[in-house]
Amino acid sequence: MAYLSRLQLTNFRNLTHLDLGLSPGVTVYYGPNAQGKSTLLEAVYLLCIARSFRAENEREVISFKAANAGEQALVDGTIEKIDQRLRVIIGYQPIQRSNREAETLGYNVRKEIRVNRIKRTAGELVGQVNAVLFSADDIELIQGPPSGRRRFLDILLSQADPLYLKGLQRYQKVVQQRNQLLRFLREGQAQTDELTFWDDELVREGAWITWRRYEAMRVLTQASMKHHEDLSGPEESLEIEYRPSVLLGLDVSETENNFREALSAAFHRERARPVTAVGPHRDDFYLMIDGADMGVFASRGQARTLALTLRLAEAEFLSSIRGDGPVVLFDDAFSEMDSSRRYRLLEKATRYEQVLITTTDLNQVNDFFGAGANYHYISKGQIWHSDQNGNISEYPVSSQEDDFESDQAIDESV
Amino acid sequence: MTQENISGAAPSLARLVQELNRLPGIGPKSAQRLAYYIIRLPDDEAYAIADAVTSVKQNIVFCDECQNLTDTSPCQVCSDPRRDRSIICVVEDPLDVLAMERTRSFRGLYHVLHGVISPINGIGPDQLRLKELFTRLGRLEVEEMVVATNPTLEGEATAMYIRRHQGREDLRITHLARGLPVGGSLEYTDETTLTRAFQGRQEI
Repeated sequence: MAYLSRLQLTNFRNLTHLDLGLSPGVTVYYGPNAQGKSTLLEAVYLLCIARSFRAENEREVISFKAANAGEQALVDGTIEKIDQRLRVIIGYQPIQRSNREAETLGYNVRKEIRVNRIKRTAGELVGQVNAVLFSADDIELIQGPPSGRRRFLDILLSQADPLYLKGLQRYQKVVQQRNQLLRFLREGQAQTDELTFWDDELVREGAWITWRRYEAMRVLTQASMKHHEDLSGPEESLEIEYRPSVLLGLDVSETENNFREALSAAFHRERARPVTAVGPHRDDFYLMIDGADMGVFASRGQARTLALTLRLAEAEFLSSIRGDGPVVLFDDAFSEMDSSRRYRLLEKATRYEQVLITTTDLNQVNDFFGAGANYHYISKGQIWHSDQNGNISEYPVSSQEDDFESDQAIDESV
Repeated sequence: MTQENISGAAPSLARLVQELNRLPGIGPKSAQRLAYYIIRLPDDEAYAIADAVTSVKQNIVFCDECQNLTDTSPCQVCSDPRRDRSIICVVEDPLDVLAMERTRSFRGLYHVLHGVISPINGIGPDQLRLKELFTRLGRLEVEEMVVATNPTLEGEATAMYIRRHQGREDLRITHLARGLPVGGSLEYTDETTLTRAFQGRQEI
């Protein structure tokens, strides 16, 4: 068991003050656009993966007014697990940049994560509670660039295993250092033998990551094929092919050897264009239906269904590995979907313990859930109870009272 | 915010705030607090701070031997006849020497690199006191070199570079053990550290 039982937001985008009780089962948040629905899910997802899925720079998550006043933004969630209760608080404190750097930006943020009052790193938070987010942008997983698919794999594996995230962070640092060193080499400011250490680390961490991805992809492929058939019927046959940048071989040490060979083969390329040319940061995976690459040939409807398929497989993967969760989030994910497909999707998703859904159109969900879900109406950052037909309670549930003990989450002492 | 406050202050005060603000770990607010504190100090105490800054800049030099900061070269450690000259400990910066000295368990010599290899920060082997180290190794009769760089990626890169380039075949090269902090507990130890601790387990 793992579900979010309370969510308190302060100055988080347009949600200036929100204190929300949540229960297991399905909860629907509906209302017009730009009222805070996605922001709500952004906050929940943030509590699980320690990063915003929307913000290019996490500075954005502090409401403009609060940032100007130097006030912090807080996301404060209480999570019930089988044997314990977790209180996760993520705070963003705007910090004034010192005068000499003052440019157009104005401020940076300092981010702080606390789990049960103890300061934690993002790496320590990820994996505590898992989440899967279905969003309208998921179509990019199919039709977008490889980076989105790598990110999908990385978030999945990081949630399943904190060691993966550590390895990945180390690998990314090695790539950065190595790229800079390649630049120095091109300019004659470094010696070739300075590469040795970075090459060794690149190969070791990279081969390990490649294998972890390969193993995950095998499980994901099985699950995806099943879900795809359930959603689309048996006429289309889905195949997924992991294409690692480095040839896999039979075990990790063979991958390491292949990696080394690929690296020496890339010697001249890397001198001409100083970026690390091979490694898991160049991985991709292909989805094919009846042999056709869906990155190129998918219709819009096919791409949507495939994206949902991947997300369902992600949820199944996480629950099989962890035994609890994940919290399933739907951010306006039902547009352009016929009702039978929507029903089959919701049927699958509602097997999970907690499902949070946002939609602009109540009719996209109340036909399926009827009275079997909690309904809330969101407008201008406030939330009202509602019934399945859209009858709204008189007063909002979100309080304006200033009684947050979490306001002290980031102490000011320097 | 900062700029408004500063523009409301006297120019000499604003200058002090700005200078303090340049120090690591001192944000604009702390800088203001410190500046106002300094103003309220008795004259002699305030001048003592200024004098300490001036004196440290005038007197501190690098030790010709170990490259540590010192008032006189060679430094106290290098010129101390009681130090064990068969073992040398290579550290990233002068604060690490202080940390090692606090243990009172190491009586050998030091060598301070003044940094670690980190291409993204523009630091390669040539920016560190490595030539000095290699020259010393050729000259001194050390039997063991402990490479005590931090267990970070950059620290490891530096240690590896030193091992490959030190040029002496008879030298024993070691690094500090990786493992559990004393007084810590297994439950709160991260997986990587615990793995390394397990690999480095010892007979009891």
